[in-house]
Amino acid sequence: MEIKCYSLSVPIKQRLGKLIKSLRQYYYDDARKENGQNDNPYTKINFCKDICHYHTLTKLENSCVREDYIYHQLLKRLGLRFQIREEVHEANMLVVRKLAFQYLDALEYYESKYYEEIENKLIEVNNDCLASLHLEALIFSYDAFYKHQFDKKLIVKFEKIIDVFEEIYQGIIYLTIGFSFHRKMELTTAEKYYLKAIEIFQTFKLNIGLIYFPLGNLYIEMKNYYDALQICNILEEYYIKTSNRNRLLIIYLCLIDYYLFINSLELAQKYTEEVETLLKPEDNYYMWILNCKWGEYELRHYRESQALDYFKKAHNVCQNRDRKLMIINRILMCLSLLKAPTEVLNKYLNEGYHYYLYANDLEKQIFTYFINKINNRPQYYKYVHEIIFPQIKNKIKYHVMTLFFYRDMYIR
Amino acid sequence: MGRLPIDIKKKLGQIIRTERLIRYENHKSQNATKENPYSKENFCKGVCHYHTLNKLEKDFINDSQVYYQLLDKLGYTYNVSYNEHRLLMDTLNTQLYRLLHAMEYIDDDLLRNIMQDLSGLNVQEDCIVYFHVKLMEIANNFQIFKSVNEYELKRIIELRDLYDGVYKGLYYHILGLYYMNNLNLTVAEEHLLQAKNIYHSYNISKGLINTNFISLYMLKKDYVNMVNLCVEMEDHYLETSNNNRLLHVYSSLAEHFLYINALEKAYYYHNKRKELLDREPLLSRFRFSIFYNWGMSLIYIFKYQEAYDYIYQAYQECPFEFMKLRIINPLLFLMTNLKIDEHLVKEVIEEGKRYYDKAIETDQTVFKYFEFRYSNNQYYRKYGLQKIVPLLLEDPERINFAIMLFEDLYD
Repeated sequence: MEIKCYSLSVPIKQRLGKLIKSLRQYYYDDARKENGQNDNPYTKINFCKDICHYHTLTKLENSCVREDYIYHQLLKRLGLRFQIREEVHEANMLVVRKLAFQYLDALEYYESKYYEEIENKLIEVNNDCLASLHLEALIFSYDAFYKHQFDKKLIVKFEKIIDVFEEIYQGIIYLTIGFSFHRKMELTTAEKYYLKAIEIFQTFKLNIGLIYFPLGNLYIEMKNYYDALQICNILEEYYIKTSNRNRLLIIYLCLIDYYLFINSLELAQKYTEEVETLLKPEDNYYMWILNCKWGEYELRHYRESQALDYFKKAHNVCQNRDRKLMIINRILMCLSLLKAPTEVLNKYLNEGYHYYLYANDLEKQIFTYFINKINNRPQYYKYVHEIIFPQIKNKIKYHVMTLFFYRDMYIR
Repeated sequence: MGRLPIDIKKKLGQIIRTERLIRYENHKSQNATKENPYSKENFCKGVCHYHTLNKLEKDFINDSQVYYQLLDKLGYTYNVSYNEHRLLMDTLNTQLYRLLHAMEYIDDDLLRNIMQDLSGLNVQEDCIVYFHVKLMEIANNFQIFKSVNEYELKRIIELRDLYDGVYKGLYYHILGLYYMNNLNLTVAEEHLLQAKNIYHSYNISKGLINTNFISLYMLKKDYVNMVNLCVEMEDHYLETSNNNRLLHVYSSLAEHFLYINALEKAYYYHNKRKELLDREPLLSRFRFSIFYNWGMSLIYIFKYQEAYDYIYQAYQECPFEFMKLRIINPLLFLMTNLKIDEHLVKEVIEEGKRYYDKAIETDQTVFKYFEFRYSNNQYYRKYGLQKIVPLLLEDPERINFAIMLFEDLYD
């Protein structure tokens, strides 16, 4: 398609220059990873060949250059277009900004709205690479939060080119990256990104219900109960006031975790009842989490049979394929400690294979342990001592799991 | 024996009713079928009509002589003039405020002096004062963790309406502590709240009862209220230089924060209590238990080297021989895990042998593992797996020891 040479103002040139620089560097790194030190089309020299001088590119990337056509040519080389008048671009960006706040508003309530609107707008702005990029970031976030789909390449890309985005979008990207690490149970990294997002959201004076929602659950998983409780107490009150059922359910689940941790069964039971009151039949997501929390509690108290009941319930309702293997592993733990017959163990083992790919590394390794053990492959001892123990030993979070392996391997 | 004023009659009526009923129940439980001398009809026989007794027990009657005779039947006396009674009560009131002060500051010497002073009071002729003294004695026993005679406590509980003013506060306070010790926490809270309100209306320092609320919240696992109250009381105890109670506040916070893995805060309060312990020689009696508990908590978060240092210090400072082996066992677990020089481990085992007979069976069983282990007895693996593992798996709180044992056996 022919490129029209729209004239560009200095501020737009600066933004496009920044975009060209960030993307070029991102593609440069990517190509280097793929092809090593071989000829890289994204070195400055190669990238600007036949379009401008190396020094012009340097100038363009760091401030701006006079010639408009250079921008358009370089963008084309990156597969981007800025084929609109500036007034149209400004109008696009107004919509893009509005959509960001609408999206965040829906995210606060965990309501899956605006997806179509974002997609439609994305088609509309296909000639405006800046607006498109922002909307792609919204889709990226939507997929993560509502579909639990995480595109690893996009995570790296958006982080690398973060400066190109408007500030509110930077917040959304950090929040989403944080969430992707959270789902992978890389909790310290998740916290780092969440805090970056929070810092940005605070400058926009967004609602506390949006700003702090990721932290309650994260701190519970990190066993940082002090900070978790502070946040949960504030958010509980706030979500009740704003009738935010979805988020309130998560807060209740956090509080159940906390009260089970401190063995305060009365309060754990109270919040469980609150959850059950709020739950609708289709709320599988909250239901499996609730059952897992009680299952973990029972397992911690060496009541494997009761724990098994909870994990089975969780297994029956869980539709998150990235969590299925975790639940299956817990079921196998209970069954193994209860000395269940091999055919019962095999049933869950066979099911586990379906979810293997979606699980995090540790769950995959635990599952591998069961494969080896149930199939009487003696290497499972070595596997636990060399592969699993280094990851779980001396961590409060994995107390029970550590003990499980010893009991399972050495108590006949 | 002259005429009794109405307020005295009402109090004596209370005593007569309570004492008669306690004895009635007592007699009934021991002699189910026999006639009960403490039934209303039998008890007033030869003294007054059944209805008169009824009225006396519920309100009051005109004839003072009936009171004297009925008290006599129960073995109690009220043989003082109104002025003498008031004088005794005034003396007692002074002691009451001293008692509350001693309780607030955990001043055991002062408590001993008060009890001595009370024993010097001639209360046999005034049963009203006698029961007030009994209330104070029970408060003292609760304070110094001395066992309380259930029969006496029951009598005091039944005498609720005998006590007025600050005594009523003390009454509810004692009951709150009693129910708390029996883990009846809801009832305990109700009573402690009553006491708190009464103390407040008499301007009694909040420092007296609030540490009981801290303990109550801890038992209820209501850590939000516990932490808030601790923070409030830290300021109060600093202002009133009440180091004993301040130590209690710091300990509650340190242990709680460690428990919920808030290490920075835990160490902050732990260091504060350590400073206090180092500064105040009078607090030295708490050192061993604080170091022991802290060490045990550190084990839970895998800070083994630090836990070892604290538990070793607790061992050195522990004055109770029956506790020594209990401290030595975790020490041996840690020494084994930390791969401390075997000679040193063997020295500790030799010390443990000295306290073996004084320890309880569980501690002895665990200790034996290390005896076998370090005397190269091949049986130690079997013993560990068959005897110690099941023992450690009985209590989820012992999870770290179970893991340490497995590590020792199989890593």
